[in-house]
Amino acid sequence: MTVVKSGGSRGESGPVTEERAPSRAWLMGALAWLVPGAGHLWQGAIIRALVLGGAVWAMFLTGLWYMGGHLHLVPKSGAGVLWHLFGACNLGTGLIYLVCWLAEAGFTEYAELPTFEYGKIFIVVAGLLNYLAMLDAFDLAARRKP
Amino acid sequence: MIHFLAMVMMAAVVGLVFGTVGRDTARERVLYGLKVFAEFTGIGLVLAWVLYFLPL
Repeated sequence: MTVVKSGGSRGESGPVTEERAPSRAWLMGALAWLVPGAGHLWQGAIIRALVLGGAVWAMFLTGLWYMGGHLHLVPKSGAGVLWHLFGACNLGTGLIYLVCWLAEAGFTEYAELPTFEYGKIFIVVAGLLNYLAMLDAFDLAARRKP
Repeated sequence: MIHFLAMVMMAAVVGLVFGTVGRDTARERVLYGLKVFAEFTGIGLVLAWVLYFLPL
């Protein structure tokens, strides 16, 4: 879909063409967020799906089970700003986080483990990387990337 | 040692993802991924030495 506007923000004369992303791009973005790697896989970018999805899954599983990290519950009442920030980052892992939430798994703190803090950061980074992968899947579907 | 390995692993994975989404050709991806990996690891080591000398 293409929208034509008159004028521009920098004072250029003539119409400025602004391309809107197709609905398929939003769908691919949502799919990439929901299941890491699925947005690229659906578009046939198998190598990219394996690399990005594999990276997110590896970071998440290593952080949660090997290093003893834990997830942050987003709607926890009385929690500080940092807690909500970490929760928003955890939410980036999509369905993995939602499944853990429903199963009440992964929210236990193992502070006695020396790698506990590392695990927590690994899970946070996994979520942030999946947000990046989601944007990449969106751009790919919108043909903004080769 | 495990702390260093954790840092290297995170730097490697972040470099891999940044290289994949940040550049368009294979050569650029490899170079950018290596650069991000080196920056993460190098800055991590420098910060570790700085903190070592601080009386915390």
